[in-house]
Amino acid sequence: MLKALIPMLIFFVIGVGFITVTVLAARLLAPFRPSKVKASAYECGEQVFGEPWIRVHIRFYIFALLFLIFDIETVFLFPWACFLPPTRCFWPGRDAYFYSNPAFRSSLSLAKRDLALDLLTPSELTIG
Amino acid sequence: MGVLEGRFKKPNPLTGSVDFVFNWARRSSLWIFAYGIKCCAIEFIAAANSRYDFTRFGTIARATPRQADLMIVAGPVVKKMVPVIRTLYDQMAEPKYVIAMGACAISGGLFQESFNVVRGVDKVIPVDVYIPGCHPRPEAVLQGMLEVHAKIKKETVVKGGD
Amino acid sequence: MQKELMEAIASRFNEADFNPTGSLSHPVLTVKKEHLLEVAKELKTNNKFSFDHLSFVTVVDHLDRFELIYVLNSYKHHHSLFLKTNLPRENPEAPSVVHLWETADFHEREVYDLYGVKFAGHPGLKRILLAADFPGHPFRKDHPLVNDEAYLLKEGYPKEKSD
Repeated sequence: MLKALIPMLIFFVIGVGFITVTVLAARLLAPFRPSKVKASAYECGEQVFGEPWIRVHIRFYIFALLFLIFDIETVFLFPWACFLPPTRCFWPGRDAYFYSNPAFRSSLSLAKRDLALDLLTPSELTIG
Repeated sequence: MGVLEGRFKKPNPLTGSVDFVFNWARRSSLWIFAYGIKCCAIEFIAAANSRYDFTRFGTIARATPRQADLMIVAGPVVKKMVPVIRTLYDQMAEPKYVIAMGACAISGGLFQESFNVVRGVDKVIPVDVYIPGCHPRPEAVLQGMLEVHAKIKKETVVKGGD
Repeated sequence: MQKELMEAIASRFNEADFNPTGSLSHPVLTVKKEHLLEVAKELKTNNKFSFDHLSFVTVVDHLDRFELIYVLNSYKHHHSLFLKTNLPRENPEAPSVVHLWETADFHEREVYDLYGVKFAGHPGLKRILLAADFPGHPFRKDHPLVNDEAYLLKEGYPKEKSD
C-alpha cells in the first residue's frame, strides 16, 4: 500500500518545490525599489480617501453556504463516478444527488426555507 | 536585480548569461498598461487585434499599472492629468518602460498651442521610445515595441549598466 | 404649439424683450438679470409653458457684455425656448437655477470654469473641466492665446525618474 503513495509524494515535492523555487528566485533576483507612492493604494491615479471596507448584508450568507456544499460535493464526485452504477438520467448531477448524504439535501432545504421567509430573493438562490 | 545588482564591475561569463536570461524573460513577456487617451488608442487597438496582433510578442494589455511593465501613452496629456499620470507611472513596478505614441504624446502635436495641453508626456514621465505619427500605423506601433525589445536586450547587471 | 407658446409668452411677459422669430431656430426671450429667477420659475411651473427640461446653460462673450443663455424644452407641449440675459463683463454674477433644474449644477460649473461667471446659490461652485488650480478663464476673449507651461514647473511636478 505504501508503494501507491510514492506518486503522491513525488507530486507533493514537485508542487511545493516549484512554488518555493520561483518565489525565492523572484525575491532574490527582482529589483526592489520601494517608494511611498508605489506602495499606495491604486485608485486610477487619484488620491485615495476613506476606507474601502463596506458592510455586506447578512442575506449573502447563502453564497457562503452554497459554496461549502458544492465544495464538499466536488471532493466526492470522482469516487461516486467510479464506484456507483450509472443511472439512466441525462443530467449528470442527478447521480450525486441521488446517492449523496442527507446533509447535502438538508442544506438545500434550508435555502428553500429562507426563500419562503423572504430572507432571499429567487435570483439570489440561483447561481449565475 | 536584488542580490546581483551592482555586484560585478566588469562583464564576465556569469553576468553574460544572467543578462541573457533576464533580458530574454523581460522582453518576451512585456505586459502593457495601455493609457489610451484619444485617437491613437484606436490604432493601439488595431495593433492588438487579429491582423497586426501584438500578443504574439507575449504582450497582454492589462488595465492596471501594478501588473504592467510597459506604459503606452497614446494621446495628448492635459494639465489636469499630470499628477494622475505621474502617480500611475510611480505605481508600476520595476523594470518599467514607457512608449510615447503619436504626435500628441511626443510634443503636444496638433494641440500644442492649446491652453490646456502639456507639450509632450516626457515633461511628466521619462520616455524610452517615441513612435511618431498622427496616428502611427499599427506596423509602426509594432516596430516601437520591438525598439523597446532592442533596448531591453542592451541592459546588463554590471554595475553602471541599467 | 410653438405658436401658442409665442402668444402665451407675449401676453405674460410683456415687459421683457421677446423676439418670437429671431434668427434662430427657437424663439428668444431676453430678460433683465433681476427678473431671471422669477421668469425661470414661471416658465417651469406654469402649465401653459411647463419647461421641464433644461438642455444646457452657456455664455456668449460679446466684447462688451456676457450673454447668458438657457435652452429650455418642454416634454409636455413639445416647444422650446432660448432664455437670455445680459451680464456685465467685470464681475459677472447670476442667480443659480439648480433648485429648478438639477442639471444646471454641472452646466453652471462649466460656465464658471470657462468664463468666470459666478452663480449665487450654487451648491459647490468649483472647476469641472480644467485643473483646480488653473489660472484664468480661458474662453473669455481677452484670455491670452498661449500655452503657459509655468504650471508644470510648480512644486510637486517632478520630471525625472524618481525612486
